[in-house]
Order: sequence, then C-alpha cells, then structure tokens
Amino acid sequence: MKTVCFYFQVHQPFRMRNYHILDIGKSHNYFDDKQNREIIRKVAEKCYLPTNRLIAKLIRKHRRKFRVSYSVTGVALEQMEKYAPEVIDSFRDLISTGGVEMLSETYYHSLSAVYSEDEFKRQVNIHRDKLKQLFGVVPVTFRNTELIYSDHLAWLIQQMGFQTVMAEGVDWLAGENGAGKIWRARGTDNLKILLRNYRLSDDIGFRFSNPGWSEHPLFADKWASWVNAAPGPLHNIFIDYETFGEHQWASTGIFEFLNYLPEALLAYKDLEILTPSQVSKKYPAQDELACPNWISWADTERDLSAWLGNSMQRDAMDKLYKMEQRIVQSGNFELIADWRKLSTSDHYYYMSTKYAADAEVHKYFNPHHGPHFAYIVMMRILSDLEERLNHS
Amino acid sequence: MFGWEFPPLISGGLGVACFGLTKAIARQGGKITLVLPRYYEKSPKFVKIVTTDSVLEKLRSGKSLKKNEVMPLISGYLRPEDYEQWYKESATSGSKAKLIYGPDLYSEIEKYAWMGQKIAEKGDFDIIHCHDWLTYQAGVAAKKILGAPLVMHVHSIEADRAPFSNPRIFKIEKQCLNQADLVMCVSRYTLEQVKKNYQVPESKLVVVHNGVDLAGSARPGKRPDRAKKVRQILYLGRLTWQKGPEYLVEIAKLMLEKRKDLRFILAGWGDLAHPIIERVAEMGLGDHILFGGFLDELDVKKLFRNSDLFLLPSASEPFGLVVLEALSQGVPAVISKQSGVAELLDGVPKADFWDTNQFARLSLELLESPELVDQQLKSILPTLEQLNWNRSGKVCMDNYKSLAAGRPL
Repeated sequence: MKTVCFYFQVHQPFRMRNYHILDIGKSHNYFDDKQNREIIRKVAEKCYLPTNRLIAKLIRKHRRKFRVSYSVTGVALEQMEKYAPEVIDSFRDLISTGGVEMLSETYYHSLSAVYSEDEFKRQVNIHRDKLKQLFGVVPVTFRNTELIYSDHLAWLIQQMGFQTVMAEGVDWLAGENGAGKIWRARGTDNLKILLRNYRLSDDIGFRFSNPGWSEHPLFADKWASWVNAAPGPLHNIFIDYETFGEHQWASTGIFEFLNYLPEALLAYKDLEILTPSQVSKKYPAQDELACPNWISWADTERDLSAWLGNSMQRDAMDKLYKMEQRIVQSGNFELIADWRKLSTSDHYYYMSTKYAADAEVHKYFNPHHGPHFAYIVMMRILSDLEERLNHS
Repeated sequence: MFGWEFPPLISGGLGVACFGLTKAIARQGGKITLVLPRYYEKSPKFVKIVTTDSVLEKLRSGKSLKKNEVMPLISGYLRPEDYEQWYKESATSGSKAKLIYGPDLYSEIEKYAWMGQKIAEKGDFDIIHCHDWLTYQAGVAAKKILGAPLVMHVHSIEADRAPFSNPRIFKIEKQCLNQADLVMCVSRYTLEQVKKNYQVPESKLVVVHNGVDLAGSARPGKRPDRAKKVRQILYLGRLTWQKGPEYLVEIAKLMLEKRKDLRFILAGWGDLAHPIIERVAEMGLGDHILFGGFLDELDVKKLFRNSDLFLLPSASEPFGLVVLEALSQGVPAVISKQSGVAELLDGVPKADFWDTNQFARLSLELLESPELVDQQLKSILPTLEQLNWNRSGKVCMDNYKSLAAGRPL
C-alpha cells in the first residue's frame, strides 16, 4: 500500500507600514491596514475561495477517499475575519465534508520555538483556541512555522500532547529516500514525524508553470505516476496553499491539475490518500530520526538562515524577545497583541540579505526599500513599543 | 547665478545656502537669474529660475520628464560613481533617463555648461556667480560670452567630500577657481583649504559666512523641558565619509556604556547607510541607535524640537549650517573642530572628529548639566543674531559692486 498525504499552508502576515521616525511616541499604528486588506481580498478571490470550493467538491465527489490537511495561521484567520469573512465560511464548509484535518501551529507564525518555550506554548494555545472558536476542531498534529524543527521542538510538543509533527525531508538527515518513511522523533515516546517529499512537492509548488522545465506542462496523471513510482510507502506533499491561483495563476492550468488529481491518484488501486493523523494512527514508526540542530523548509540551506542569517535579523529578534517578559506581564492586551504580530517570521525574512543582488545592495538612492529598510523600520516600532511599555 | 540644488529639492546645506543667499541678494536690490539642471516647483518671487533640462527637453521632444526618473541630478553632492550606478540602474529598469542623460556625470556637467553659455548669450548680466564644482565650468563658459566678473562660491571642495580626492574633480576645481575674479568661501576654514589645495592667491579670497533664518523658529533657551525618560541625541546629515557618521556610532557606544537612557537618531541617507546600519546591528545597539532616513524641512524642525543634544562629528565641514539651525531651535551641540562653524561659536564645546572619547565626555557633560546647556545657548545668542542671510547677502552685493566698478576688493 502506498500512502499520499497532503498538507497546505495558509499564511498572511500583518505587514508593517512605513513607520516614520517621528511616529515614535505618537502613533501606535504599526501595520499597513490598507495593503493587508487588499492582499487578503486579492488572494481570497484568486486562491482561497475558488480552491476551497474545488477541494470541497472533490472530497464529496470521491466520498472522502480524497482528504487534505491545512495549517492556517492565526494572523491569516484574523485578517480573513476582518477583511474576507466569506473565506472563514468556506473553510467551515470544507471542514464539514469530513475529509479535512486542521493542524496546529503558532498563532503568529513566529520563531518562538527557537527563542522562548513559554511564548511558544502560549502562541500554540492561542491558535488552538482560535480553531476551536471558529471551526469547533481541536488539532492533534503539529507543524511549526516554515517547518522549523529539531529534537528540542519534538520534546516540547510531545509535552503538549501532540502525536504527530511535520518536518522537511532534509536529505542529509533522513537519507535520500528518507521522506518516504514514517519516523519517530528521538527523545520522545512515540511522536511521529512526517517528512516532506520536496521533489514531488516542488513539482507542483515551484516548477509547475515553468516553461523552461523539461516536464512542462505537468498533467495530473503524469505526476500521479511519479508518486506511484517513488520509493517508500509514504509521500508527504506539503505546499503553500497560495500555489493554487496565486503563485501559479489560473491561466497556468493549476486548477485543472488539481481537479483531476484525486482521480489520477486513486486510479492506482493500492494507493490511499490520508491526513497526517490518519497516517500516524494507521502505521507504526519505522525508524528514529535525530535532529540536534534546527532545520526548516527554507532555501537550499534548510536552516534558520533565512530569518537569522545576518546581524540585522539577529539584533531585531534579540530586541523583540528581550521585551517578552515585561510585555506579557504588563497585562495590556493591545500591547501584547502588537508585540506578537511583530514576532511573525516574515518581518525578519524581509531583512535577509542573502538574495540581494548587487543592484539591490546599491539601491541607496531609494531608502524605502530592501532589507536594511525593513530592519530600521522594525527598530523604530520596537522603540515605540518600549515607550508604551514604560508608560503602561 | 549657477546652482545645482534649490529648495524644496535639496540633499544638503548647498540648497539651503543658495536659497538664503539669493533671497538676501534680491532684498539688497539684485536681480537674479538662477540656472539649475532641474526644478519642478514654481519659482519664488525673488529669483527667476531657468532649468537646463527644460530647455533641452523642449528642444528634443516637447515633453517633460517625471520626477522620479531624474532624482540623482537634484543633489549637489552627486559623486561620479553614484551617477554611473544610477545610470546603469535606470537603463535596466527601462526608465527614459538614458534618452536625455549621458553615461557619466562629467558629460552632464559639460552639457550644463553649454546650456549656461546659451542662456548667457540671451541675457544681459553684470555678474556671474556660481556655486560649487558642478557649476564652475558653466561660469567659465558664461564669462567667455559676457566678459562680466566671475564669482565662485565654495561651499565645499573635493578634499572635504571624499577621503581620497577624485583627481578629475580636483583638476576641474583647480582650473576653474584660478579663473575666477573672486572666490567666496563659506568659512575661514574653507578659505585656508582653498589656498592650500589650489594655490588661489589670498587677494582673490573672501569669507562669506552662511546665515540662519531665525524667523518662525523657537527662541533659544526657551524650550519646554518635558519630563522624558529617554534623552534624544541627533545627527543630521548625509551618511557619507565627510560627515563622520562612523564616529557618531562610536561616540554613541561610549556614551551608552555610561548611561542607557539615550536614543540616538541618525537622520539622512547616503553611500554609508548600509554599512553603518549593519555595524549598529552587529554591535547590538539597534534599540538605541535609530535611523530616520532622509527627512524634509518640516520633519527636521520637529526632530529638533524633541532632541536634547546635537552632534556634528564631521571629518571636514566647510561650514556646518545645520549646527546653527540646531542652536537656533534651542538644541545644544558638540561639534567637530574640523568645521567652519567652529570658528564662529566660542561657547560650543568642540573636539577633533577622531577623538570619540572627548566627544562622548563633552556630550555626557551637557546631558547631565542643564546649567551648561543654558550657558551655551545664552552664549551663542549674539552670534546667532549676527549670522543672518541679510548680512551674507550684503557682503555679496558689496563685492559685486566693487567687481563691477573694477575697484580693488
């Protein structure tokens, strides 16, 4: 028997506005409401609404032999409630099909697992409460921000009662076909790890619409045959949900691909599609995975360097978590919520200088742009936050 | 008159000085035509502004360009290497800039000089007055047509602007300054530099100090003393070698070792912006040293209002107008000895720009003693009264008259 497991990531950060140096002490609006609203509306139209509709239809059509799982961040849910409540309704409809598992993560899509155990637990709990409030579900499977994972994380979340965790299929840890196995996390009783098959996932997530790719155009039956031929009993397909209609536009044929996908997969008689917790319940772990250092699904390095690779990122993150205790103890809900929104990993990703070509680095004609600008704006906002903290 | 930047499109003190001077000269009865490479606002009443790009662009296509496509030429501190970088970027970004601009700054300056000549041919001018090296060649060209006396106004020289002088700019400055009938220097400090670097005879050199407009600004010494938890220290200038922002960061580090309730704000941008931001992050001082980016006049005024101290750590500052602005807003200062304003401000503490320990010590002293601040602000009042643009304009006008009459200066 071969098993395929789908998980889609849904996330939108509260993007920061161009917070001015003179705003410090005067304005506490840190986020670009207009831009955030526009983006949520746009992505809802292009991706969330049509894809949710299609997947609900497919689950019903295949009588729950087609199943998927979602990790929707709290900040994404919060913005949907505010700017596109119909998306929340469409997720409710999806969940009512009985073929959807909702996963747990930090509400703020943060790196708190790396910086603060206490804050990590709090953010996971807030997210769990949100899922319960909106959808009436309680998650049992955990996926961390950007698939950031280590033995330490495994130990933490086992304590919190999770049975399954997702991680990146890093070749140098699990071996070349390691993603095809079910693993047990080292140092835990029986916490199962599902590793992402990055080749099959990236076929859909990245290469799908690339005309320069030798396999372009990709059709569902071709991809299904690759899944069937791939080594190992388990294939975890973890991708950004925005792949459907946003990263890959409707005109690329991505929706036709998705529409035909369950049929193409289920045409193989000994192939099943399960959600993460179903996989975990049905099959025992085959091997133990040791992961002493942090891994993630980002970049070729598959580590934390996308968020903590340079001095600006580290300084900003250090300063943020330096405030943690005092912020939480202040009991000031607005302050705490603002601080937490600033913990979202995207803000630090924007400060990365890894991808900057020469032209980028030299763009000092336009200071309102690029990683350095992201950093100096964050530090202005943190200064204001510090003032508020001192006054509260 | 030939200039390169003019408010509100300015990148530094050069634009402010051109504004102050033209206004004051006009008040003395001078009628000024100011030639700029570009300008988008309505001309102020006291000066007639002619832009070379409007003349050129009309000749070529009859259309005007958008602002964002031509930003670099606005700065009077433009470096040839910056220009090339900008030109390359605008070429790849598909901007129309390459249609009307040459691939390097020198050809732009020559074009400006050529246009200056065309404008001179059409008018009747008694005096030619040009500001800084970008416009010197235009002045020389105009003199050939008009035969009128040529005044060159030195707001800075190449040795001020870069640690290693660009030999081509050095040559342009040397050749042109020696063709001038009179060279006005913004300070004694600059006058000595011009003499030393370009061997211009003392008889052709005169100091015309910049002014400061006190109108509309808060009276010094009358600042409301708000109860604040954080003391704010301001640096205002381009982030470039000349202004010493790297020293500022070192001074900040030393001061923060003594007390933590300090917030440094670096307002301005430039070629050192990225390296300095990274340095601050490496030092882990990002929560105490903030970057404001380039700010407009109004924002600068606001920033002065909530600052407790102003620092000028320039490596070489021909004048340092910004210090007068700070003081006139009631912000005490510690300034570099390598500056023109240093010769005017006895009551303001000074240190060599490289002496970060001394800078830090003097700064902490001021922060700890309101009496010292009062003393400083009181002591500079008479100087501030004296230093106004009207006085500078009168010096210009007197010199014009002597030149036009062929009198010895």
